Amino acid sequence: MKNRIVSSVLFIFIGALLILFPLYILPVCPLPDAQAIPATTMAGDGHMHSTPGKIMKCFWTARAEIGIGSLVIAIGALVLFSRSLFVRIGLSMALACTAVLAAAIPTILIGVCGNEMMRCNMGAKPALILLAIVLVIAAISNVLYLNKQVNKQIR
Amino acid sequence: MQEKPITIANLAWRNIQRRPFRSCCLIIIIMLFSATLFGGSVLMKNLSLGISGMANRLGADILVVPYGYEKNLEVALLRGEPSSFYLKADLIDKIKVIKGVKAVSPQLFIASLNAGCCTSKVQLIGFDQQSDFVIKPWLQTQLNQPLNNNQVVVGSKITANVGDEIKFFNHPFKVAAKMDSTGMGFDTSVFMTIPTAQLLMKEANLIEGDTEHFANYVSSIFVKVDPDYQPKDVVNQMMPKYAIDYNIDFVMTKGMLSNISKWLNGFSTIVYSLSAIFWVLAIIVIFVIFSSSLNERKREISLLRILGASRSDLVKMLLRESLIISALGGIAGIVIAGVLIYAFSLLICQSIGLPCMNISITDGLIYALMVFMLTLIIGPLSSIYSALSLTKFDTYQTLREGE
Amino acid sequence: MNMLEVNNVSKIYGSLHALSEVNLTVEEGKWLSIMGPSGSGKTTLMNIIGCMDKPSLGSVILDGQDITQLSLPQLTEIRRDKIGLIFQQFHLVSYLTALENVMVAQYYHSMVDEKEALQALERVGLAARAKHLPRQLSGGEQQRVCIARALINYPKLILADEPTGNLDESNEAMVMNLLHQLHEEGSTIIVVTHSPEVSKHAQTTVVLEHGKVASIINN
Repeated sequence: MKNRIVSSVLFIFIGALLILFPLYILPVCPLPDAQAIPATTMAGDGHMHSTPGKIMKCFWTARAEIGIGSLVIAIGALVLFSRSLFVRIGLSMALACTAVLAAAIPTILIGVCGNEMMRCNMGAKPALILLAIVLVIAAISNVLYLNKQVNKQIR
Repeated sequence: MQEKPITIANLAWRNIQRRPFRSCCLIIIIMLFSATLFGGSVLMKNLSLGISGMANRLGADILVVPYGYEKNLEVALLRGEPSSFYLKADLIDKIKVIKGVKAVSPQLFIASLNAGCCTSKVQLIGFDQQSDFVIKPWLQTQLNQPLNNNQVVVGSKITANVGDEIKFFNHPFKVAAKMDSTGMGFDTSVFMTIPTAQLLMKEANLIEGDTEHFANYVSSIFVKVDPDYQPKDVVNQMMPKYAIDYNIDFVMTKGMLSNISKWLNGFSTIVYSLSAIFWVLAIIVIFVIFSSSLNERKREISLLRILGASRSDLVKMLLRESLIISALGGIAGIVIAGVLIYAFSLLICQSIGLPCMNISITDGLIYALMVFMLTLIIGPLSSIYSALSLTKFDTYQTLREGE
Repeated sequence: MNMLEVNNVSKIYGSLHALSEVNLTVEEGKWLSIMGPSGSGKTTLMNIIGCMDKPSLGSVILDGQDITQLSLPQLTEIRRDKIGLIFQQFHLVSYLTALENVMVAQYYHSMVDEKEALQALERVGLAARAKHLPRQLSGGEQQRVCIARALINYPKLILADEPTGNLDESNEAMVMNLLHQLHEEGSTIIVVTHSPEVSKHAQTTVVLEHGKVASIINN
């Protein structure tokens, strides 16, 4: 019972952070507003500056993380309601894989803006990677712990 | 069936495991201390490396700026956020002849691109290649030939490499060289010749009014002073002659840096004070908790004494418990602080607004070791009294108390 | 040969005489029972015999050695090497398994030997419960673990304080049976009890009253 509550609360919390970080806490670059761009804006090579109406990669990363975060929350909730050790082991393994996906989104699969000094690169990206690492560690630890419980029961 | 062999270390570890909530709380308190001390120390080192790097390689002793724009220049150098300010270029030749002046080099700042999403603050700076002593020392590889009008030098954080093409105002430029990391605003700057910069400004209609005479203006003049002279004396010569006519002010880099150092000292006082508070708090809390478990453990200790444990065996066991807790808290704090600072170093430095350079791995490990040693002391120091008083009880009477 | 000689032993706390000129002798391989009501001095005498306390007056010779002259660390050593203790309340270490509880006694004596510890548990019929914690064992089982622990270092003297005090009839019978086995193998046993039924198993019963030997009964 204790394990169910503690692990599911932890997973749900991390899932919520995966959503909140790139949106509010360390937000990615905002959507460009065409009217706000003054005439002095440089049209550039897309690396360092936006052209009117162009949505940056980091925006899509944040969107994708909403989906992944929601999935993590859902799986965390399932962990809470699953009495079977084996089911919880399976769910935790699934969470570990989801965590890998959460880290891959801002790095390989979608990415963020190219320039190091952009706020998505400085804030959201490392935050998402760290959250993914914490989730992997939590999920794998839960798998190991539950495995031990299974072995104890068998004995 | 393989049981772990019974040892003092084992018994200590088992005691920690059987009270997970209490052990976690103790570990967290110690973790706060080690994280604060390690994180704070690394951050301060990063800042002081950035500042000393800046001091060593800025080159200029005096910066001449339009009156009222000293702060703007400081911010431009530290954070890469220039504003547009100009002074008359003919001042350059006048400064050159002042006694004690070794070298003079102008720079022209074009307003940072702040519009819309995702534009990092790319600063365009025109510099005079012949007289320059500020930019050249930072170049990764020396320029073989002078920059032409279609070439630029980029800062270390600009995502372009030597040979790449880069566009500004639809005007293509080739990257001729890239600078080393400076920790300052230069990292997000792009350097070009002054005539190129002026042309860009004209083409982009960045200047209003009399554009023809714009060639007579620069943003700042960097002055290097002869080692035999004091910058203050040079300023004292320039001020009465030119301050009013040109409406200028003088920034002494030493003064600028000493202000930053003062700030850093203040910051370090806060960090070390906070760490000391956490250290003392950790000792007190562990002392209270270990003492309060005195009664609970009297029977266990008496039993072990009766089974043949010597007093020193038991003291060792109890000290080992507190040592394990200290070690775990120390490692957790150091790892967490280290990971957070490494992951968010750019964000932190940007937020502080000071130059910073990342500490080397060796220095980081040395800091980690020192903090770890300090953390290890906490446990035994706070539990020694309990350990010694607990082990005084060794009779069967104690064991049978309450029966 | 005498395993134990208690000569004119007195234990005085201020004006209270917990023991007063107690004399008794236990030969090697004999079973002695010390009986008496609460406050008669049984526990005090047991503490002194078990090297957990020193008398105020008199001497105690254990296995040919005068233990009244020894320091506390030396007493600990004697207790560890020569005496196996069985308590009324079992007193097992709560966070160690049955096997580990036995091994703890080995650890402070000489060397931990898991195989030997397991054999000791087998002897008391608890090999199958070796990995269980004390809270997972019944009262009788815990007492048997206590016995296994007491025996693991092959003590010359087994000292049991109300060994069946907390047990039901069947467990009491089991424990007494074990003590009989040990006695038949040659161990010297001293059982402190207030129960006449338990004391009947011994060869000799010493009755204490108000700290003095009231009578000695040969059973």
